Amino acid sequence: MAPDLKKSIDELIASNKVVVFMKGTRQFPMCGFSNTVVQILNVMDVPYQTVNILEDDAIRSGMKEYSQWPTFPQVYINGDFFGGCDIMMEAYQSGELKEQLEIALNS
Amino acid sequence: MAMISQRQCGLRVASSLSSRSSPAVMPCPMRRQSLGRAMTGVCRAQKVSDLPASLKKIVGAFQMVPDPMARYKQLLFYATKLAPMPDEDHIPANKVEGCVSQVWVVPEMRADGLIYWRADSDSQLTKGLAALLVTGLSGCTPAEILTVQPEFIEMLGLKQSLTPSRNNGFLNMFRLMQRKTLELVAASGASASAAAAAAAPAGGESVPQAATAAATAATSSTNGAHASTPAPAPEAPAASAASTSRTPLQDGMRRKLTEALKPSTLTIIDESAQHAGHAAMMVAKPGKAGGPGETHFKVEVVSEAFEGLTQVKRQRMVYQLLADEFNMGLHALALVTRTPAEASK
Repeated sequence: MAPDLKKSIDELIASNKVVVFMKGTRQFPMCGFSNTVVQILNVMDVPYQTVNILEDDAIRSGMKEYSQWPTFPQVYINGDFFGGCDIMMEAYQSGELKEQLEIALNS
Repeated sequence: MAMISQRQCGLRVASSLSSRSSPAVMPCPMRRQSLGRAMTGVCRAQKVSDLPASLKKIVGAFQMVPDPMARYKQLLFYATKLAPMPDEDHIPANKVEGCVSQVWVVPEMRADGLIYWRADSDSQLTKGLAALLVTGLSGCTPAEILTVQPEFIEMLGLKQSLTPSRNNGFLNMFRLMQRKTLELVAASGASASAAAAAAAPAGGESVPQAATAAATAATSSTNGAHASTPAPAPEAPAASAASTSRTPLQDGMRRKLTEALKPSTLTIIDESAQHAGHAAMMVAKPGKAGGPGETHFKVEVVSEAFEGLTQVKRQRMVYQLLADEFNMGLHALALVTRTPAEASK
């Protein structure tokens, strides 16, 4: 990943509590897995940033390396990689997501 | 509720100040997977111009007709154009389910690599609908057929002339034709997994609903709809014993995961057919390992190796084991990673 790009990703993740690297946008998710994550975050009623990785091949391939994760969506909470769709679903159902979001938003 | 778009070093970020701006649940455009800049801004409603030429002509013909009654008559006229279908094609495998009348559809891939259709029905109305689809989808590439979204049916302007069950039957006709296209492609690409997946009940379209309902219902998994399919079971034992397997990607996955994780349970379900739109992309790019069917899988692993690891660490482990597969055309994995203790709860 180009150093400039890495830097802006670092900054983005550091300065926003919740960031989702996804396919499409929150208005028009372009994949079922990305859509699920968006719906979960909407229900949790928290502010979040999204990056549409479909718009830029450099970001799309770069994020796979950056996160050490070959698929999208990729969710970052409080600066840490939290997981993809499956993890989000499980955390949502178990209540862990609510906890983590509360911690993040209050820190 | 303002939408802010920022440019940060070429990074475009969309944020919202209030999450109340979330729209009503989105119909899932999973079939319209786009590949970076190659297909820009694809997530808008399918336009007439996106349809294959043969279908465009038909939609155009119907849109030109001024009133519903005349459109209906035009539909019946199409019925007369339908070429007769040989007796041997009137078999259950070719029959459209969920249709009030009997309708059969049969695809044929000819030397030019294009698909040509035959169909028949025992009622004039459904014959007309079938004829419409036969004319609209014949002479198309498999990829073209698989990327058509059923919304084109609305563009015909027939909806108010047909009862709900007829409309439903029309949709089912179209769906069966897409499934049969996938089957044909899989058969010609010598891959069993797409065919097996295509044989699954009409659960292909329930995934979008499941995905959107999941957040609110919080019960069904995004891929729950497919859980009942026995797709791998009948094929796998014989296939892997043969010298050339028809599911090389899946075999590789099974081997690697078994070796590395020594799982007490390992389930791999091929869900590629549920992503038929993506499959169209695979069809357009021959030569990838595993053929057109092996793109999306659900993988459940129960292993002691996961003891003490967070979900992220567990899934990363699985991803790293399957790095080669991702380079060979594997597109997405729905993962369930459990320790034996967790699985027995």
